[in-house]
Amino acid sequence: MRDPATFDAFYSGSVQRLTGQLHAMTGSRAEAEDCVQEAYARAWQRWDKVSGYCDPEAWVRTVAYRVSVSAWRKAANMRTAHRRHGVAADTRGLSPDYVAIIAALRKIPPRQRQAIVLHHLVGLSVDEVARETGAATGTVKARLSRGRQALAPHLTEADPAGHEPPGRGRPERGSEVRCDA
Amino acid sequence: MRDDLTGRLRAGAAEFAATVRPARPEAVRARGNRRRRRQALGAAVLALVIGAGGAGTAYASLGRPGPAAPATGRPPSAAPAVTGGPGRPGIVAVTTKGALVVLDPLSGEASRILVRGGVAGGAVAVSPDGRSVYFAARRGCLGEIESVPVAGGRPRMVTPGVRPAVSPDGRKLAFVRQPGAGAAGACPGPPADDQLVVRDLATGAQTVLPSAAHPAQRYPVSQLSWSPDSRRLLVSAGPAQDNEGWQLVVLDPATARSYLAGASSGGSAVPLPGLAGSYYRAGVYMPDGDLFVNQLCCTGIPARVTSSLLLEVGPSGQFIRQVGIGFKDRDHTSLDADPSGQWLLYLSGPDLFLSLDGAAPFKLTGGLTAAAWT
Repeated sequence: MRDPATFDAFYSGSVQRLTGQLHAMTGSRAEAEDCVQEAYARAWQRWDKVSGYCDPEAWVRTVAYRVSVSAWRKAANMRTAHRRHGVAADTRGLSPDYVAIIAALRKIPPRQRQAIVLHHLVGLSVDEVARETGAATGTVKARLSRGRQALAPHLTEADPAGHEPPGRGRPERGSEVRCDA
Repeated sequence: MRDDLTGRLRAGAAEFAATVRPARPEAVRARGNRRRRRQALGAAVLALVIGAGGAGTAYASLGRPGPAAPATGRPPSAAPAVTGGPGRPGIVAVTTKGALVVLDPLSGEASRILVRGGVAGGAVAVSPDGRSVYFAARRGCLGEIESVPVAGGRPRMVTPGVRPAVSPDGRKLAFVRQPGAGAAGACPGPPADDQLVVRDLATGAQTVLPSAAHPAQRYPVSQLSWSPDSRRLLVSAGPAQDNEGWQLVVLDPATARSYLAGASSGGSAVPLPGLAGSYYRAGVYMPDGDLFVNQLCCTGIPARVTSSLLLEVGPSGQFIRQVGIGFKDRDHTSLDADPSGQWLLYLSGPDLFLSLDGAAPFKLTGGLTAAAWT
């Protein structure tokens, strides 16, 4: 039985965070918003099952990423978007530093970008990234290493505001609830 | 580099997240519901294509059309979690070897044997309180309706007859009897036409309705079903020889004079609007008064079935939804809806199929000649 109340609470509490993560993975606000919404719609479609998962957010993120890499869908959506609006203005309201990071991320291969975002932004360990992406641990390590190397030339400026990395609502490493089921 | 990257990425993503204006949750749920309906429709179309190709083995489901679907509380289901599911009622069944058993509704295996042998197929009925099972036992050439507790016990003889159906109020038993087949051990010659008998379980008083058809042609009753208010009977009957003249008849046993439709009989056939040549092969009432039917195409001699559909229709025959596509070369019998109206079952030949909320049916087990929800 699908419970709308639990879905709404889950959606409201996670949609902005997930959209931010997808934006970093795809480099496009419109695409991130659309893919995340599609993933949530699919989550609601089978909410009786997804709500039982120990980390529904990871499920939605994975589905949203897969939706975003669907070539057919991407091509169709881009055609529609160009026809309606021209190229989307993605960077409004964002700091130049973050815009530079996103631009740099777009220049590295998608798999490396995904690994970088999951590890550095989402905060997953290498093992967790491996589990979520279906890759071997060694592969993830290699992607992270090569991704950082590829990003380095594009990221020469330090954070001008000197921000502390904000938490993202997950437990700290030491107290994290393991969920292998 | 690593800490710097992490910090800058998180700060920027948080800044970005604050600018996101997400859609309302209701809109997302509506999108999910639309997607679900589209998938159900796609599955149905695919199954129809496969069925039209001659395989005759596809099963499909279509949701109730239009905005009425959510209002009924029974949304279409594209791919139900068919192997489990809380609340699935129990099932009693008759095996091809003549045993009456209680089936495990999840595995389809017999969990209890109520009668070891000699049980006739065709129909089995459960009392509304779920405690007793009415079945037909073979006694030589004859059938004898007996009852046995679902929990197990000694069968009790009720009356000669076959195809029992207990009314939802538990007061009446409808069944079929063949005249001339009354004397135990005496096998009649050519079978006479069926009689529909309604018996008051408290007093034993019986009302007998003949078919009133032409004496040369038999119209055996294949299934009986009581309306939710226990006042009307739905009779599935058709000619013994071919596929012309099948009827799904609604009648009031208190006033009807025969069990076939006609101006003088008191019974009326369930309409089949807009589908020339199709006919109902069997049907039962659902708890909300709608009908769960097996609709075949097409009438004609020689008999040749081109489609066999399991449908939910209204009392006036209006289409509600398609539950499944049956095998063209099999009879679909023992149609039944559980008291909640959400679970449907039917036999396709000897195989038992279940459907939840009108979703694509799935085979639970095989080797049966009758089944019913407890």
